Parts: sequence; structure tokens; C-alpha cells
Amino acid sequence: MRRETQNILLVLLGGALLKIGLTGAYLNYVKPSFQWLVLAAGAVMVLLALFAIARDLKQHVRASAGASGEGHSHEDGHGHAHGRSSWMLMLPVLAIFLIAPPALGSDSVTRNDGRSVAQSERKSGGAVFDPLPAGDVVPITMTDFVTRSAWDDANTLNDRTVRMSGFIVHDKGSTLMARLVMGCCAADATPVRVRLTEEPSVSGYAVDSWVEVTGRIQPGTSTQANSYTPSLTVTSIKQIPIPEMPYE
Amino acid sequence: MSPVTSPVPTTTEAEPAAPERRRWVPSSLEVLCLVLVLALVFRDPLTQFFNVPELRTGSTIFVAVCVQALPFLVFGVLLSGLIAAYVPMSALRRALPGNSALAVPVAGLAGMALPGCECASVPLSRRLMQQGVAPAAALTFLLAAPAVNPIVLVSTAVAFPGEPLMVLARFLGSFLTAVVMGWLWLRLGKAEWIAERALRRHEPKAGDSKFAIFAETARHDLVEAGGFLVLGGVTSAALHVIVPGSWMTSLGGQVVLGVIVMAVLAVVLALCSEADAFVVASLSMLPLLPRLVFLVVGPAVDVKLIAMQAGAFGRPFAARFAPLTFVVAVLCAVGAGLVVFGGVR
Repeated sequence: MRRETQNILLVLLGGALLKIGLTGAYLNYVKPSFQWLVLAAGAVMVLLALFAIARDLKQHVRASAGASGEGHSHEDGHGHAHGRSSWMLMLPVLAIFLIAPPALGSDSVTRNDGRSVAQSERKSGGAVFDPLPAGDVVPITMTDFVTRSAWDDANTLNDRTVRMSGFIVHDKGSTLMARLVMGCCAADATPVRVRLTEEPSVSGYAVDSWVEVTGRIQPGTSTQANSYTPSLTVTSIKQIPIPEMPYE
Repeated sequence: MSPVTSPVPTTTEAEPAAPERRRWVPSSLEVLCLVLVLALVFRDPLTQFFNVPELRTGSTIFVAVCVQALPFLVFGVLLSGLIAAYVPMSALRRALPGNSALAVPVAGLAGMALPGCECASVPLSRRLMQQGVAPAAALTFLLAAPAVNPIVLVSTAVAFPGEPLMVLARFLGSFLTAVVMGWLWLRLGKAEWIAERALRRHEPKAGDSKFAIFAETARHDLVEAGGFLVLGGVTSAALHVIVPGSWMTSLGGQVVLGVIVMAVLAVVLALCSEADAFVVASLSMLPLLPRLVFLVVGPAVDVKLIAMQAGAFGRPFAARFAPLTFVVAVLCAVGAGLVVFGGVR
């Protein structure tokens, strides 16, 4: 591949990283703390390419001014033999600019059947959780809710109304709300799920639509057999826009 | 803008004189433009095509792997450029023991100082070889750096709050793998397996400033390794979608099968070494030993790394090095696990 083409590809790829870093789309792929890494990587790519382009232009000018004939030995020694691999750099550029893949959704939840974040949180000898904050309706993350449902010996969730948000998954005849928990990037995302019950309208929500629900846990429904999927008696449910940070 | 009028060619596509007599072959620049135009024209059908659940999941995972790994690759090529431009060969030789058998464990410990993932260590270890470091030591560094650095060990401790021994077992298993592979390379490795181009030193042009050498080396390494990183990302995204998730969960307590399946999954899924602990931590139905195998094999050999190694050192190298690393990593992990846990747990 020509040196110029490589430089253009680097500018495009660096630009793609800068774009998702600045628009917030990077949150669909990596955790929030990656923002400055993504931006720095994009900036370095663009700068390295611009530096090479500037050098080429300078050499070009010098060579055409008649300084010497050796000014255009651009191919850097090992370009042709395996230069084809650089074409792969097109793929992320096209994927980011044209397809812009959305955050993972229900497909990953049903695909990862049987895995749940709650399984990692077990602490030896029964876990002690801080009591939930006071108030009629407690806002809570799905991870916290599912973990408490599985391991909380003090049953702090019982008889408390909670509010959570997630996306809808229809699985084997029942309606779940789910969220994916990310360690580093979307490739390692692990699902947390809650079964929505006692509210017939839940089945009317389309797959992957985002909802906010309030409700109460049905004690004893979060077991190893159902991969720690507690049932929630839904008191209200409403559709919400996709949150900026789709993962937990 | 600039008064460029004389017909001096700006590139040396392998077409020296007489271009008229040859058939017209599109240059890479023209191909690039064509691809971009086609992609823009067929944007709507293309996005429609990717609107199937499997492909959507796959493309998200592909972009995620790239976005997550590219910063570390950039970090690696910048370090590689710095070494090429500013660190004289004699300094590196002095830093390592002259005896190669001793240099291997020292290189393994040096890996603790590079807080990156495997994408950073591939260009870096190749640079070390080019600067005259013994291949065995550079390969040990390649395997150790992504596996035993402090960030990985801390994230393992966070992922296994009830099992502090996991950190120790992971460190021992990974460190042993790296050192054993270095020693094996000393005994069995043949220099000709490593592609000649990998060891050829980049001869700086007369008059290049040190900064120019740095920037050109980094740019060159980035373009080359980046292509293979993307290839690895595609492979891992495809396997993510194809391999059923139930593989992980239906193993139950079968230890031998668990070790084998988890080792294969580590290769196939190509997770970042800073996040893999969180994934296996969620598989509480498995004993600790198979999960340790996953953590030791993953940073040493996975589809992303194999692609990048084939790119950096050549296919003959990767075809020997990757399978051997796999076997050694599984054995070291099982050994370290049995000793540290006192059983399969």
C-alpha cells in the first residue's frame, strides 16, 4: 500500500476515534473512563499521519526544486511484501462512520443465557449490604438490585418500592428488563435481568425499547436455577429515551 | 498552492520506468477513493444488511474491541518509536544480563512495568529484538507484560473479592508461562522462524532528526500492527456470535472438560486482560481452576494476538509459537492452581 494511502487511512481512523470520543458514542463500546484514552489515541494517529504528509510535501518541494534525485524514496523498505494487511484499517472506519453500531441489547442477553453479574458478587459467609436509603421510591441500579436479591441475608429489598431503568427482552414467553454490565469494553459485557410480572402491559413493549419501572421484589425468586433473575411486581412502567450510558 | 510543476513522482510504487507499457493497475489511493464512494452510495442497503440481531451484536463487539485496543496499540508504537530513536542499542544490552538464560526471567519481571494490554507489547517486543535484545528475552517480555502488570493484578483482586489467592495463582501461572516459553525458545527456537523483515533494522535516512525517526517508526508500526489488530477484532467478534454462551455455563463441576473449554474460550473470545477477571468471576458454578486457566491463557494466546504475531514476526513463527504457548500456558496454570489452591476448588 502506498504511503499516502496509509496516511489517509490513519487520518480517517484517528478522526473516527475523535468523533466517537467527542460525541459520546464511545459509551456504546467502552467504559466512560476510556474517553481520554480514545481521544488521545485518535489525536496521535492524526498527528503522526500529518507529520508524515508534511515531510513528504517538503521533500517533494525540495526534489522538484532540483536539489537531489534521492528525495522521493518513500516506500519505507518493507512496504509491498505484506502491505495488504493495512487495508483492514478500513473496516473500523467504515463501521464507525457508516454503520455506527448501537450498544448491545437483548440479543446479547439471550445469547449469554445463564450468566449473571450477581454470581461474582458473593462474599464468603453471607454478604452485608448497607440499608437502602429512606423514601417511598428508591432509585437503584439493576446491578445493585440483582446482587441484593441474590446475596443479601438481611433482605433489605423486601417491602421496598424501587425504581430502575433497562431495556425490554422477551424470552420464552416472559418479559424481562435487562441491562449489560461492562468491565472494559462491550466484548466482556455480562447481563443482569429482572422478570417483570403482575402488569399485563409489559408484554406490549417492543424488544430493546428502554423503560423505567417501579415495583417491589417478590422475595425468594432470585435463585441459582434461574441465574439470579428476581421477579418484580410492577406498579408502573413508562418508556424512556436510550440513556447516554447504556451499560452499568 | 506550492509551485509544483516538474513531473517528479511522489511515490515509488514498484513501477520504476516505462509505465506506459504496463497494464493500468489501480493504485491503492484510487482503490481507497473507490471504496469510500461505494460505501457512501450504498450506505442505506449496507446499514439495512447489518440490522439483523446477530450482525448488529457482532459489529458492536468488533468496534468495541478496536476502540478498546487501539489506545493501547498507540501507546505501544509510541514507546517503540521512542526506543528506536532515543535508546542506543548498547544501553539495552547493558540493562539485561549477558547470559540469555538469566535474561529471560529478568525480561519477565520487566513486563510488570508496562501497564498495557497485549496490543502494546507486540510492537514493543519486536522493537526490542531489532535493538539487539535476545529473541528469547523479548518473547518472554511479550508474554509477561500483558499478564503480570499491576493493573491486571489489581483488577483480578477486585473481581475476586473473596479469593485473594486468585491473584497469586494468576501471577505465578502467567509468569511461569512467559519464562518457560523464553527458555524453550533458547533451546528449540530457530532464528529463521522469525521473518527476516521483523529483525531488519530501520535504517534512518541521512539527515533525519531523532524526532523524525521516532515519528516515522511509530507511524510505520501503527499501520502494520493496526491492520492485524483489526483482523483479530473481526475474528473475535465473529466467534463471539457463533460460539454459544451456554458453553460457559453448562460445564458444571467437570474439571478436566472445564479446563479445556475455558482454555479454548480464552483464545476465542480474546478479552482484554484487564477485564477478563470480571467475566470469569461471574461463572461461579465453575471451580476456580478452570477459571484460572482462562486468565492465564487469555493474555498469552488469543485470536487477536495470533493475528498480530503473524503480522509482526511472520506466519511460520506464529504457527509454532501460538500452539506451544497454549499448551505451556494450560500446564503452568494448572500447576500454579494446584499448588496455590491446594486442589481444584
